[in-house]
Amino acid sequence: MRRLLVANRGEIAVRISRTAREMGLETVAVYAGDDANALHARAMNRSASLGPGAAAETYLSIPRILEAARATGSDAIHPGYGFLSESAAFARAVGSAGLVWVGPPPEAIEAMGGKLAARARMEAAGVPVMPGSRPGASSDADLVSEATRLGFPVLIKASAGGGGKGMSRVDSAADMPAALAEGRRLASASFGDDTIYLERLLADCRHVEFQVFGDSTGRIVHLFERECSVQRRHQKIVEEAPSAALDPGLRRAMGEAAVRAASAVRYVGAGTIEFLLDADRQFHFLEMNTRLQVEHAVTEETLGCDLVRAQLEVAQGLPMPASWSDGTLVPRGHSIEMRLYAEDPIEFLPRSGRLLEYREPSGPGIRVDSGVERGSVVGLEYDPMLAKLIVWGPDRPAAIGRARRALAEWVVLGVETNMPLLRAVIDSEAFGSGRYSTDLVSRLPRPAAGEPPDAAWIAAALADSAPLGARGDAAPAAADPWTSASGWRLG
Amino acid sequence: MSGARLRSGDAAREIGVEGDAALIDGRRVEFERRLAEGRVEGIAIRGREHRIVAARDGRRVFVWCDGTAWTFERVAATRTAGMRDHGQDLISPMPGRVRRTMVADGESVARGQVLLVLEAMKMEHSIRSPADGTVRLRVREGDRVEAGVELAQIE
Repeated sequence: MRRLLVANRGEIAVRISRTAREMGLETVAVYAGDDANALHARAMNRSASLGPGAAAETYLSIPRILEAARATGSDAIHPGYGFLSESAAFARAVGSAGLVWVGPPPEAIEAMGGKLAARARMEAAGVPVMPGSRPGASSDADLVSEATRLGFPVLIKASAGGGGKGMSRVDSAADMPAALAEGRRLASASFGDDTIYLERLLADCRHVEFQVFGDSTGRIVHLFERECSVQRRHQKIVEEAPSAALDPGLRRAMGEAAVRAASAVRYVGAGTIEFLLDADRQFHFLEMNTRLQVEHAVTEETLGCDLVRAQLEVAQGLPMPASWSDGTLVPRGHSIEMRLYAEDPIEFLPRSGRLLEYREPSGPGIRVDSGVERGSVVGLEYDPMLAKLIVWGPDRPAAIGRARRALAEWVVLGVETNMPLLRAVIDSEAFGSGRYSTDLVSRLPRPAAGEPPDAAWIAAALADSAPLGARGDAAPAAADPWTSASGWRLG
Repeated sequence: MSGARLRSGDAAREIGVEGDAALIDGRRVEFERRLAEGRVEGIAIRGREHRIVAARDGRRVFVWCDGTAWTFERVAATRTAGMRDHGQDLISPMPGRVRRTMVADGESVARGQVLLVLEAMKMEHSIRSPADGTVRLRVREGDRVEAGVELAQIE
């Protein structure tokens, strides 16, 4: 492996390129037409255009990405997360083109991609699975009777879905026919397959996942857990490791189940087994993500490892790091990740615009994986996640203090973000106590906008009356401070 | 002395700055500027330091102050004599694309008349004239616009 093409955009493309370059590899970015000036397209040794068009014709186009790999002389492809990362067809096409695929075998992707089949497979492997509809139940009548057997409320899920997308809650049998029709329509539109299934919906659950890793010698290990219960719209926004909900016994049981799950599909590379942990401390398999996760960084920070490096080594046939399988691996301290989204903090609707100012926090224990910089244009075409803030501290209270401090240093102006929500989560009593479940965000008081302090009103008045800055756009540079001692003065 | 009426969310203030003093709705607040590379990046009020980063885009002003980002909009300006009356500006309420212009540049328009149609968040929004007058279009069909950008002016 000499030249790695990163088939992704945003923060994960930049993050993968960083490790690859540390390993002495050349990196190749790909970009859609409207992304030519994006940070990731300039962060690598080479870049190749995927041509004009929406994501479906660019970042999701197997022929265009393979053509970019050929044109740039790349010999390996890392898919990142999202886009084609869980496409078995892409994994096969990369292999057929004679390139190294930095991901699990296509058979493992397929085995876990159909969520309905994966549930059956996990049950057979002795992994506790969330109670749900039996695999054969597909007609309305069957599903209604299955829902009654499971007990309401239930969740309708798309078999070809995952990642919390395309799920809907149903509270009674009367609502079932309409909800099933809508569920099939959504599944078909989003994933091209209208197969749906039901799962029991449990209250007071925590979402706890285990990082797993396999290499070509057949060894499969787990790299401990991540707590991912802070969610909005079934999407994670704050993750931490370790989980405050696990004791050593439960951690061992869940870790062993995660290894059994990955072993059942002969997993190679980095993957994640997602569990729901219920109020009775019973855990249930939800799904496996056959790729690097967004929140992989909290595992890296507590284990002092680099998962992307291990992915790249294992893809070349090397074994996983020795400490991962000899029982000496022990998590150290506590890590929290906060995802910065371009969205309003109340309704969670995506926002667009240009980042007029962007300054990242720094100092002890702070890591920022970002896909943006000052001047970046944030569109509505792609996932609205801009960056991740990852903090590490010697223990959980120290990590929370560091998270609060770092959030207060993060300057993001020009595009509305979920920063107020992140601060509300970190400041909440529930998060502070460690005793929270997936409904934490919905239980927070609505973030009150409040009123700007005097200093903000004065700064606004100064900026409003200032001449436009040298960049000709937005930033109000003060008049030359040597000739106008008072800064932005308008006569 | 300059003055402007600024709005942030539900709050609006008449605010003027003269030297190192501000009048906020008639209340006098003395402050000191802290400059970084010629830009105001801090404001001290009665011995308390406030960290500031400010940026402007069209008629919107963004201010980051001690960890919180605020958006301000100029509602109306009370200017000193001799300054040109700016007429009435139409500002795009959200980012989107100009789907259609319904009037020609320079045309006389009536209050309430649809000037252009903005497509945003997969919906169409009619932008109407706030007054009788002559329209000056600042955008063309097909233009992409951000929130806060001037779309047209009524003179």
